[in-house]
Amino acid sequence: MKVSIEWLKEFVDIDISIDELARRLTEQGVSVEGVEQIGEDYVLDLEITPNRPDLLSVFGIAREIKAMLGKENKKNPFRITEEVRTTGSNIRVKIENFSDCPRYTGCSIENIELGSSPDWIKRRLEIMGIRSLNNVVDVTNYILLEMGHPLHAFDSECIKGNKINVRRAKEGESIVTLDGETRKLDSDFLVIADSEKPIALAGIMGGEKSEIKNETRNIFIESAFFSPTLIRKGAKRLNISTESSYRFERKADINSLIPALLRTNELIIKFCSGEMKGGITDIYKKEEEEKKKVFFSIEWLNGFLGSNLSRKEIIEPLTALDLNVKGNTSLEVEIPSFRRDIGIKEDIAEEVIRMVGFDSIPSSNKITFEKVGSIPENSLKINKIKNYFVSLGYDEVVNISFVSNGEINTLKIGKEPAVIQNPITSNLTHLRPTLIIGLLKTMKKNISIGIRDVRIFELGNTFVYTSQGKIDEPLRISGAISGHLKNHDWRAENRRADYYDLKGDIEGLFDVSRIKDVRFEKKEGDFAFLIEGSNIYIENDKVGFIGSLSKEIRDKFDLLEKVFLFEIELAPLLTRISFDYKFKPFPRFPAVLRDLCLLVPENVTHHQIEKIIKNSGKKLVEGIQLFDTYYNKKFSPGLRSFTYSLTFRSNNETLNDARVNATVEEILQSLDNGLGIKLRGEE
Amino acid sequence: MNLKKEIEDIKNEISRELNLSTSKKEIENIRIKYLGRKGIITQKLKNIKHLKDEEKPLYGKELNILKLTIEEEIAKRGQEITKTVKEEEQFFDWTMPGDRRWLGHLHPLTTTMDEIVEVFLRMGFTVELGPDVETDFYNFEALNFPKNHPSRDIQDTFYLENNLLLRTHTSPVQIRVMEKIKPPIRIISPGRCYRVDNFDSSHSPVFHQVEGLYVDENVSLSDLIGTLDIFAKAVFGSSTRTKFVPHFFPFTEPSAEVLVSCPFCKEKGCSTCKHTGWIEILGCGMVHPAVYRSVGYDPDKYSGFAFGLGIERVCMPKYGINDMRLFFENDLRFTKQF
Repeated sequence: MKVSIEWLKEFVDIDISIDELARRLTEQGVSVEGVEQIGEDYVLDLEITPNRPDLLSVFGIAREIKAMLGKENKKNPFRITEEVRTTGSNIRVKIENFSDCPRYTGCSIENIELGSSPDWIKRRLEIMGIRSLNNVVDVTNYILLEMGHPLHAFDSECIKGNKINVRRAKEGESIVTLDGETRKLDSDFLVIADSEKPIALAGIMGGEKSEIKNETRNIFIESAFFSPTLIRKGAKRLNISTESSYRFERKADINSLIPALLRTNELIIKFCSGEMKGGITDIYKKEEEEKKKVFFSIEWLNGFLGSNLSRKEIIEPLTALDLNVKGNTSLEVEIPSFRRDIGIKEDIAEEVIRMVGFDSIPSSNKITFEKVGSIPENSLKINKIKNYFVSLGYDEVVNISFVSNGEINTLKIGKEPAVIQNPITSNLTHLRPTLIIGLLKTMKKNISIGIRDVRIFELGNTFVYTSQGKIDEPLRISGAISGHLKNHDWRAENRRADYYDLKGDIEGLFDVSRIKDVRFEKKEGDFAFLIEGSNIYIENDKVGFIGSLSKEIRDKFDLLEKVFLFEIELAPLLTRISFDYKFKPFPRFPAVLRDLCLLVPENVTHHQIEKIIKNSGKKLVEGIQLFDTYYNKKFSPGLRSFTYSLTFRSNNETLNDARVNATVEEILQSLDNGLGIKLRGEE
Repeated sequence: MNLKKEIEDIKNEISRELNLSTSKKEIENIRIKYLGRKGIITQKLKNIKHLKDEEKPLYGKELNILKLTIEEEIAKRGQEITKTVKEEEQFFDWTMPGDRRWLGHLHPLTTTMDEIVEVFLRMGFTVELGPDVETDFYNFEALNFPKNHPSRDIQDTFYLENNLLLRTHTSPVQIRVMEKIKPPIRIISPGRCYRVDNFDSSHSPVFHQVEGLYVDENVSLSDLIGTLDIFAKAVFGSSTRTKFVPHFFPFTEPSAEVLVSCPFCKEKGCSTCKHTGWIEILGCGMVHPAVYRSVGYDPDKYSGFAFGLGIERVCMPKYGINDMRLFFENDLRFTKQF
């Protein structure tokens, strides 16, 4: 909210510099976001928190400054010197439901002379962001700014039947509001109606028809209290926020209705002529509530704050804020109706701390904790995984969780994604079901700035619907490589990344995670964006995939080079990673190496060969290393050569040649029987 | 002589010689030495006929494999040499750049988050995590944000179907933990949060937080001040000062914003602190009794404090990052600096 210093000075003497005022207000919890000089005047831009509607006025701010500087108010527009007689005006007011509108006051003024306001009023309105319209409307706005209470002026001629009914709108009713918009209404809206139809949206905006026009002579001024939640709901539904609704939804002060009405009358009669017709209407179903009081002890307060404040140090600032304090060590604070934010002793503690300052609270050094904090085991495992990829030269990227429907459809990812009801833009409408989209965008971005050689990974939540309609948040890791493996320097073999580079990094991940039973099986086509892809299994759980991005998708993301990527769901990995492992003594007996140069039919996979070697190797096979593949035109069609280096070892004895030879023979026999694989040179 | 050992020795010797070879000519010499008409392998194959009958097949098989292997190795090495060094260009210059691998980098948000967590771990806080997708109850109601109340405007929320929402802070974790266990509680909850904001240099619809909660008997505001003071010194350096400014949060009373003295200009004023000398990094306060009631704690028995800090807000002044968008654009020129 903006507030003019010149106007503030009408209510309180300010004898400190503007900069100091701004600093001290901020330190007191009324944050000054900016100071602007306009002519001779200065304007403070204040951030008023939603708990302090009493600060949404010039007088409210003045009261805060008064307390801060230890001064008195020069004048108080809320103070009523004469007794107010509420004899009723010529407009008959009826409130349908007092919980929607506990109090409604108003009065009629006749024979006004409509015109423009004095310049100083115009200026004050303008500084605080309100456009001058005519002297009547300007006065209601002026009072809104001065006292913080919203008022509304109706053209009396437009109140049919001289009756005002405060009621819920009926289904099918509508109203054209001051901004020219037609608003369709239903029973969620509170309206001010005459004997026929709504003439204003209560607390939000007046109706166009009943507004003050050039020919208006007689007016009715409304000063009411409307249910904060009702006003908020209505304004939210219409997606509007007015000076009036903003204050009503933060709760008006029910005791300020009459003072605001009287002050409005005073100014209207002063600037627009006119005279009051009849008396003041005040429909008020007063709940017999005692004045709100808060009790606390000085001991409690000092314990809660960790302070050592004296009675005087506590009472003085509270009194300065117009809170009435009684008692000696147990104190009783009477809360005025304009401070609706104070209800419990902790609120009093806040008032005290605001006024005495946080600097008067010692910084505790008794933070000696009896135990060291711990971190979930999964977080440690996640750190380990991240560090693994970093050690292999991958850069970690962090993408936001939002993607577009188009991006999801491009990848044809099958699971149903979660939709955001109120996205900020049309390309951030869905929660990411995969991290791949973010990686592709990251690659696109980096290619656009000339970085073509990329090794990246991201670890984070993804979002998918479960079959029960809940949103699951599987944690995933995804990575991509593209371009060269190293810088092009004077020596390096400038090779480009391929599937096997990425696969090796994934195998390494399972290795450092001590997860043994991992399989890569040809993918079953559930990810259309992959070619040369395979699913990754741990035991029988499908945990992810790896492959090369199809040309079609690469083109969509402007990716010139081949891209290899993977995604793995972390839960099955994390449950299997254990920090509980023991040192294994070195083997006691030597290993025996044998190379087998095999002729392998094209449709046979390495995995099949590996499995047979393991199974028929009688637990003597310790290692299987594929160290060469070779193709030669001299081979029979459909054959290629795989050379394996096998390591044999026994835990119980030194293996002799005969034993190894026999095992090799058995392996060869099984390979021949099972897969039609022959030793090279024997074909 | 043991056949296996013999073959193994030959293989090793050839590998050694090939590795040392630097020119096509040398490779050709190796080929001749082993596979030429009078080469070592050729000779051995010729000698098979002098062996015992039962030895012949095995010997023949093994030698043939060896021969094939050697042919392949020689061919490979030949290719390697043509690719890398031209024969005449062999020289040694110890100042030439070493062969560098590419280094990987953690994202600065990760390292900052870890660093913050580490400080609180040492102060006895335990890490607790919660979901990004939350209910109105955990994100708002239990934290004393009544329905249809303007306090909700401070945290403009992304909604999903079925009344679910994306958490606007990690405070729901506090509620989830308090529902499960009784005080003393000392937790921090790091994580991702969401608010309806457009991207600009100081806003992002997705950001990260670490929130802390300490509830026990006789916890005071003074303890909060002490804890955050230690934290600020640990992260920004031991000469860092903190300033508490009253503020409003529905779930704490009293509430404050905490500013730290600018680590760059030492309160003199610079572009990082927008010439104020201070940087706002977190919000905090004493837990509101309404929060205790929503989890079934006795507000008269327990007191405690809560705080929440934005990882981006800590990371930006720490590294002099002037635009929040840099965190999520993933320009690798950015990431590779950390």
